[in-house]
Amino acid sequence: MLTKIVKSREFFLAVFIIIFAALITSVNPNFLTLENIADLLKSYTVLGIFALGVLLVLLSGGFDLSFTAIAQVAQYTVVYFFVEYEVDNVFFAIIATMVIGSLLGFVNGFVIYYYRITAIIVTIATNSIYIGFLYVVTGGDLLYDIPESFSFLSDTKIFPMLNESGAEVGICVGTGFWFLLCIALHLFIKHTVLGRSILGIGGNQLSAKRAGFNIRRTTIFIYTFVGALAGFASLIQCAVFQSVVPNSMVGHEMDVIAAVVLGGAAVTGGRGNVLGTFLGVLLFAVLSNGLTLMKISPFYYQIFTGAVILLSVSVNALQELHRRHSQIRVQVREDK
Amino acid sequence: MFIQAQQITKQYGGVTALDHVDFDVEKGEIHGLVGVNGCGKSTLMKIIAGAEQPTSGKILIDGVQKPPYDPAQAMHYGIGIIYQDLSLFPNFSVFENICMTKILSSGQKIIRSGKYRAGVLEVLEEMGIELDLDAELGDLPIARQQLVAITRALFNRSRLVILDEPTTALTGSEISHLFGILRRLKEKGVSFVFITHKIRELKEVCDRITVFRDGHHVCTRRNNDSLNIAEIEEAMLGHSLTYKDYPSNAKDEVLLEVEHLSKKNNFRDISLTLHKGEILGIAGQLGSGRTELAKALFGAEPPDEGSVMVEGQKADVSSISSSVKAGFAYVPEDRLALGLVLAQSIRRNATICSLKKLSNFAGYLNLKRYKGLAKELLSELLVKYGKISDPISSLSGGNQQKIVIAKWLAVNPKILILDSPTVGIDVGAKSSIYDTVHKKAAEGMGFIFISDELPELLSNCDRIAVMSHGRISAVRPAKSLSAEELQALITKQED
Repeated sequence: MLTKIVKSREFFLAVFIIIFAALITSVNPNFLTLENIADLLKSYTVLGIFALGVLLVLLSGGFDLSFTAIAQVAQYTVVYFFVEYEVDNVFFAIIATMVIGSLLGFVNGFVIYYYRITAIIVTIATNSIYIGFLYVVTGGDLLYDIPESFSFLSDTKIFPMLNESGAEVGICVGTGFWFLLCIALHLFIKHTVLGRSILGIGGNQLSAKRAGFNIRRTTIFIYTFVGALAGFASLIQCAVFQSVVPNSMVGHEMDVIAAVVLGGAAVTGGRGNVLGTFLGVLLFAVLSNGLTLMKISPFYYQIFTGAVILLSVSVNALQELHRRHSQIRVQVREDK
Repeated sequence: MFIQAQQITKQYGGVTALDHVDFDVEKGEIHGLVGVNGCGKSTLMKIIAGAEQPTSGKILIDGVQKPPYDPAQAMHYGIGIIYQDLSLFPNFSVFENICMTKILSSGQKIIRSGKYRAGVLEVLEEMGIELDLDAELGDLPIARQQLVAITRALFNRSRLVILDEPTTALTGSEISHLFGILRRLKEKGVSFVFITHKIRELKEVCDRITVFRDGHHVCTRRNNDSLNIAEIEEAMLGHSLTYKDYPSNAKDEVLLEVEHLSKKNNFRDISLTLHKGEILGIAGQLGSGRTELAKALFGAEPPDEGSVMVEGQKADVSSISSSVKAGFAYVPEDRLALGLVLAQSIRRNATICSLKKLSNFAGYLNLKRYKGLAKELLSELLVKYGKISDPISSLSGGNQQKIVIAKWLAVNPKILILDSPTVGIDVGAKSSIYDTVHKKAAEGMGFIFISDELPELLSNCDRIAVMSHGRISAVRPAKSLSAEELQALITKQED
C-alpha cells in the first residue's frame, strides 16, 4: 500500500511542490504568507476549474479544445446584457454563464456522438466558430463596466483575517468554489454510475457498450458539463480582471491540458483523478509565482513547465517499460 | 438439457452465415465448438447470447421456447458470453469489473457496491481461486484477467458460459489451470461452450465436440477414447489433408549458428544450427518459449546473452532492423494484429517490406516496379483476390497469410521464421504455403517452422527441435520420427 502511494503521480507532484516551495521560501520568505498563497490560488482558480472540465473529457477518452472559446462567449454575453439591462446579481450571472456554456458544450457533444467525429477535430472547429462569432458580433470591443456584484467571487473572503497593515486577507469565494467543485467532482467520479461510465468508456469503449453503459447520455453529458464549467470559470475571470477582453482566454487551452496531463491524466483515456489534476495546477502556480519571487525572468517559465511535464511523464513510462521487461513469459527450467 | 437451438438460420443481406443448424448444451457439460474462421460458430454464439437475432429458428431454454431476446435478457436467462477481448475495464479494480454489469442492471444511480462483496467472495470460493479484488485489472496478467471475466459471468448467475477462444493468449500451465477450474464448475452444474480451433485442447477438456463448416452443422461427437483427432480435422476442413512427402533440400553449408542464447523469463541456453535449404521444425507446448525464441532472433524482443552467426558472420539481433539486415524474416502467429495493416490495400501490404528496394537514393518510389513486384508476388503464391487495390481485410484468412509470407519473400531473407503459419486456414492455402516453402528451400533459404500440428512438422521439416520450459530438450531427424514419438517427446519434457 505504502509503495503504491510512493510510486503514484500524486506523491511525485506533492514532493515536487514541497521542495519547490521550500526553495522559494528560502530565497524569498514572502512566498509562504497567507496573502501570497491566497492571491496565487485566486489567479489560478480559473485555470483550476477549466482543468476539472478537461479532466472529465480526458477520462472519457475524448478531447476538448473549445472550452476557452465557450468561456469567452458566455462571459461577453452575460456581462454585456447584465450591464445593458442593469441586472446586478452575481447568482443570476452564474446561472446565465453556465446555461450558455452548457448549450455550446451540448453542441460539441451532440456532433461528436451522432456523427462519430473525433472530438479533437469537432472542438477545433467549434472553437473557431464560437470565437469567430464573438469577434464578428462585438467587433472585438472590450468591456470595462463589470457589474459590481461580480466582485463577490474575487474579493469577498471566506475566512477573512487581517494582516499587519490592517487589510483583509484570505481565500476568496471563487477559489472556495473551485475547492468545492474538486470535492464534488471527486465524489461524482468515484461513486456515481454516470461518473464510472465516463471512466468505463475511456478505459474500453467496446466493453462499456457490452456492459450496458449508456454511451450517448454519457458523451453528451461530458461536453455539456465542460461547457457549464467553462461558463462559470469565465465569470470568475472577469471578476478578477475587472474587464472582458474577447481574446483573453482563447489560445490558453494547452496550458490547461498540460496541467491536467501533468496531474497524471492519460490522453488515451481512462486514467486520471481530481487530486492529481489539482496538484498539477498547483505546481504550475507555484512554479510561475516562485520564478517571479526569485526574480527569474518569466521567459524561463515555459521551459520549466515543459521540462516538468516531460520529467513526470518519463518516470511513468520508465516504470511501465520495466514492468513489461520483467514480466514472466515462460517458466524457464533451472539448471540442475 | 439447458439450451437447445433448433434450425437456426442467419442471413446478412444475401449471405447465409448459418443454415438450419441445431446445437444444444446439457447441464454441467463442456461443449467444444470448432470450425475454421467464418464457419458460423461465432454467429451462433452471438445469437445464443442475444447479441444477434436469428433470421429463423427457435431457442429453447430449460425446454421452454423463448421469444427473441437481447443481451440483458440473455443474462437474465443465465447465459454469459466471454468474448476473446474479455470486455473488461483495465482502469477499474477487479471487484468493480466483476460487479459492474450487476450495478448497471440494478438501475442504481449512486454506487453501493459494498453489499456485493460477500457474493463475489462466494463465487471465488466456488471456483477455488483467489483474486486480489482491489488490484487494478490492467496490472494483472491476461490469464488472471480471464478468471476475472469468468468470475463476472458466474456472479451474474450464468448457468451457461460461452468462452470464445479463451486459450489464445495463455501459456501451457495457465491453460491447465483454466481447464481445472472449468471441470470444477462443471461438477457444480455450470455449462460451458468452448470455442477454439485447437483440436487437442478440445480432446482434453470437452464432453462433446461439435464441428461447423460453411454455416452448417457437420457433426456432434461424444469425446471418448474412440474419438480421433484426424476425424474432427477432416470434418472441419471438408476433406482430409494428405501431407506430401517432400525431398530434403538441406545442404552442407551452415547458414545459422545460435550459441547459448538466453533471455530472462523467456528461454535459456539455446544452441542450434540451421543449414542452407534446411527446414528446422520447433515443437513444444504453448509457453515452452518457442515464440519467444523466434521473436528474439527477429530482434523484436532481443536476447540478453549468447551469440547468433549467419553464414559465419556475427549477426546483430538487437533490433528488428538490424536483424532483418542480417537476413532474418518473421511471420508471426497472430497475423491480424502483427502481420498486416488491415485497412490498407493488398498491394501495399504485399510490398510493405520492399519499399526501400523499390525506391531510389532520394527515397522516391519507382511506381512501375512497385506495381510489377506486387503482381509477381501474388501470382507466385497463388493468392486469390478481386482487385489488387482492395483492402486486405477483403481476403480469406488463407490468402491473407500468403501475403504475409509473400511480403517477406520479396526481400529475399536468408532465414524465414514461420510461427504457426497455417492456423485457421483452409487446406488449399495450406498446401500452397508448403509448396512455396519447399521451393524457396531448394533455392537455399533456411526455415524455422514453429507449429502445433505434428503431422505438418513431420511432413515438412528436415529436423525437429522440441522445446520445453524455455530450453531445447531434444533434436531429432523428422524422417525417423512418428507422430506418437514426437508427441511423447513433447509431453515427457513437460513433466
